Amino acid sequence: MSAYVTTLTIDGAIVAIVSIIIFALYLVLNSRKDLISKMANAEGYDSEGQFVRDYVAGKPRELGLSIFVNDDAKSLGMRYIVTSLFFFFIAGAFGLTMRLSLTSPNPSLLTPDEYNVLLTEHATLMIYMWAVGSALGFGYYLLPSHLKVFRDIRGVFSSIGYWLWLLGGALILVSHSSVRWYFYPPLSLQLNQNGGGLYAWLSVLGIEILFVGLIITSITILFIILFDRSPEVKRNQFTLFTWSIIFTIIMILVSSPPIMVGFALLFYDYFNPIFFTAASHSVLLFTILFWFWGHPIVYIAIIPYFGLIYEIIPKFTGKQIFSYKSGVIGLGLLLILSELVWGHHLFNSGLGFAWVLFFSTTSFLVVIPSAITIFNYIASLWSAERIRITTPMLFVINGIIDFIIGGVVGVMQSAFPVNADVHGTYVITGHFHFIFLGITTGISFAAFYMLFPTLSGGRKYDVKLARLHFYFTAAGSMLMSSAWLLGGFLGMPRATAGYFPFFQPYQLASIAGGFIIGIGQIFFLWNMGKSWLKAPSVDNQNCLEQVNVISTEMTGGAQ
Amino acid sequence: MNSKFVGVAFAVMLVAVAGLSLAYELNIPEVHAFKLPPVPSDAKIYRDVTLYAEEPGWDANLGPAKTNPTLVFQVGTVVNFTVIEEDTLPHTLAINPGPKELSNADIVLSIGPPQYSVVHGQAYFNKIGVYTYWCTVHPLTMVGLIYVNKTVSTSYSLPKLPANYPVNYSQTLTINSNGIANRSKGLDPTLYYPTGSAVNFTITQNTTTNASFNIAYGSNVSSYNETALNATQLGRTPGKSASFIAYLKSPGEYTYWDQYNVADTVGHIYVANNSLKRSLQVTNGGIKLSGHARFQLPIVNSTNAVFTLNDSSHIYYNFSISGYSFETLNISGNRSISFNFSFIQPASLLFNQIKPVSHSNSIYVYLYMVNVSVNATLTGYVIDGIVNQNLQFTQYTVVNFTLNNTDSLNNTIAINPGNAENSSSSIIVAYTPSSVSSASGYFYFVEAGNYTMWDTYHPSSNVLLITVISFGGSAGSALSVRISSIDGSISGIQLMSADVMSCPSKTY
Repeated sequence: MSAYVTTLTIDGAIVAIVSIIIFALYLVLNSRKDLISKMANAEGYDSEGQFVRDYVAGKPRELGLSIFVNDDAKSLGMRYIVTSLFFFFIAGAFGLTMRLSLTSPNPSLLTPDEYNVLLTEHATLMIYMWAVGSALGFGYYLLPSHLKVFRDIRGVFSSIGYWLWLLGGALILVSHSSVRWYFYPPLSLQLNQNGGGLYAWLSVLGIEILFVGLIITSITILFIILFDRSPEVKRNQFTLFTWSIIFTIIMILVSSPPIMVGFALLFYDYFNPIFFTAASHSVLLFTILFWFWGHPIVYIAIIPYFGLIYEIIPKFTGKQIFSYKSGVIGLGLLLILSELVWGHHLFNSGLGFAWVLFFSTTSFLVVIPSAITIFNYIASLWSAERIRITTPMLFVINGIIDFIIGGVVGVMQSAFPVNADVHGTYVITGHFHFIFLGITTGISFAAFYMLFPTLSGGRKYDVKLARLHFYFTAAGSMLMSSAWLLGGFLGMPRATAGYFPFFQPYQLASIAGGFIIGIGQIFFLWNMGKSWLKAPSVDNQNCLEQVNVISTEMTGGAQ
Repeated sequence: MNSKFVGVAFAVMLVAVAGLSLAYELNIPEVHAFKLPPVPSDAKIYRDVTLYAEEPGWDANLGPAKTNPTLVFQVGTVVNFTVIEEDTLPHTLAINPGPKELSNADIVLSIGPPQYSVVHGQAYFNKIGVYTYWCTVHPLTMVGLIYVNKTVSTSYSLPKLPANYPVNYSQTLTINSNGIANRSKGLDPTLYYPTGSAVNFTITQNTTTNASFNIAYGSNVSSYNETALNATQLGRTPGKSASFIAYLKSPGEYTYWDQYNVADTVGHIYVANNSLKRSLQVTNGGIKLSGHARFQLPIVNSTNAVFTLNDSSHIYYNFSISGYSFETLNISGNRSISFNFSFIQPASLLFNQIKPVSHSNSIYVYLYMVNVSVNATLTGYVIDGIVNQNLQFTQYTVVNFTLNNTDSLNNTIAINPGNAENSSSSIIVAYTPSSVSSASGYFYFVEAGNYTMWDTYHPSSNVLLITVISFGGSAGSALSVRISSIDGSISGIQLMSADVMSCPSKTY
């Protein structure tokens, strides 16, 4: 029996066992769901979700497996948050392994093929499953409270969207794809001897399914905001987080159709290569379709977290945000400009000088809304009489600093001469890791800590461990991304399994940074286990769901 | 589950799932990879194959023709591949069993810039069958077949000469160290014969090394060839001769060479169904045919054409065939010179006089010719009694339109691509009633698609659609025109490509 057949048999057996376990769980939970359905009917409810919301989810609910069968918005929110955390740890493990392999200039731990697979999976999963998933999760969880929704009837669509999103992510995970997160043909179409390239088609299929789920979810959330909110919540009373979700959804709906078509054509090319491999096509065709989406997704991955920062800051300063209007304007301008800057990813691809000039200009313009947002945060902190430096606040302050560093480096790349010099180097990696670690990841954890009393059924998280989690994550992130920036400015090429020995100090520093981040996550896991083991001791409300309240550190509840 | 264990379960599951995912991701299945067997130390059969790597296709020669030659080896052969970088793009030479590309191919070698860099690789074929060799970077264009046979004797041979078949031609060639020569045609001459010729080749050895005379069908040196005369027959003694009769049954291009000196000894034989002779006058007003300064030469595909340029002046002239900007002939000073063109694929060409004044004349190399008689009436074109009936032709058809004057008005036939009249159309026939009763003109339908044929004087009534359907073959995909002089005096000008050409500024 060949090794391949053996591998297939073992893989198949594992998949079968896991499937059986999942099916058994499904049966158990589905019976509970039937029970809920009967109870809802008995109470005269048309909507099971509404019943759950009123009787179960309306009250603070503890995290449990039931969130995967209940279709109310809170369950959906927890589903996304939990799932995205899983993918964060999965993709994070991939990232750490890549770092480990770069201790030596020559590929050591990983073969270049394995490195390319991990690189692709790390990027794709972090963006679509962690950044986007986490944002959707907080959206589902917080919006019903912020908007005081009077009904919860869109659970079926929401659930379909979630499962498609998860299926897409799972297919990408098992695809062994090594074509980077942008799927450029002909690389993604190329038949080669590497497993990564061989299974790229599965990742294309996966991402297309994921997009379908994303579109369904986006429309559903938009419907919740437009049609299900309480009549007493006027548009000018929307929280800034609500606005950030609205803008994010618009971005998703506007930007994704071209690349969905692109992925469909790409998938067709596996069977009949007529779109992206034909002699007549321009090599820029797919890249343009991709980056029309590829840049907005970057904003999709941070704007909801900008919104969360607006919600978190007042809880620990005891004051409203400095300027509500400029907050909305800043986020809105980010939406508009995000659709107009995508060409800066193709500065060195032959777009032509006129387009380079256009996209360079628009890219510089992004500074304006970004600065409006950052200055709004700083002014809010500046004008506060007292800032309570809690763990969520530490994540927020660190996120602002990281965003300024990463943002400034990003703006530098808007200048074509600089871009021509640094593109393809670790400068780019450092730039977006500053932002994704500082804003996306940091603020996710900040929000998670604020929801902890509710998710854990009235428990406090261990402040010491949470701070350790923060310090290690922030320090590691700073060390890792800074080393990348410095090495990158010296020309250290990114996305390669090996490097010139000249760059080893920068690689080693970033590896140290990566492991410090990894250690930080151990404190998070330790905290979860330790804090949950304790008996509930505080109010299980959290103040993130509530508007205009002040939080305490450990309980998260209103004070 | 007790709710207090949720956190622990959560943390453990996060670690477990992340760890399992990592283990899965690093378990890249490699068993797909096909590997050619290692070269045995006692291998007896070795073959050398040189391939030029360029994105449009593999080729055995440097130059524009990209043929992805079929390679034929005897089982047990160790093939020494020499790949030469031609276009500065990255390439790989991948080989897998079967008649098409497979993702598990063995990558024999990889090559990239700079241009003309050389990489060697070995492949050992110990199993009979069909293999595919290809470039993983350009899998759609750079792909060809390898046949591994029990013996190579069945690979290719010229057809046997039928009994009592007359020998039409004789050709004497000498194998020199710098090429295969003909006394009057120079080194590695291009030879032209009608289809079905039996040519008695007499080959004389003029080197002290091994020599052979190999012939393959096609435009390249190929392992799919016949060794018409081998080293034993030709020996190593200068002056030794041997003969054989080549039966050139099929039209097309053949390649001959000495397998012991492939670098210097590659020539071509063109075998065509048809022959054509035209005498052209060279004047200050351009090339003329029978006194006409604008002429078109419809030439059926697979034609050996002989053009004689008659120059009665003392002016320096310069000519070219379109598509081959370097295929330029120079003539000056009151003399005649004949050139032999072999048109083996349909094309629309221009015969350009570049100096001293620029003039072009059309050469149509076509597959089909159709005569269409059109009556111009007040209500429309009438063809075979039907008013404005739409026409259909096959790609590469030259249509000779004859326009008959039946309405006593001015009429034209104008043709343009597309489904509607276009002001940029070509007027191919025009007459006024007072001058002629009919007129005719050619139109060559090179591209498939719809064309509109219309009367520029009566665009609303005289208009019809012409549909040109695709030929469906490979004809026309590459322009292949070879040129040489009949008397051999300018044989050095026979060009293979712009890259290797050295165009002598020869004055006659």
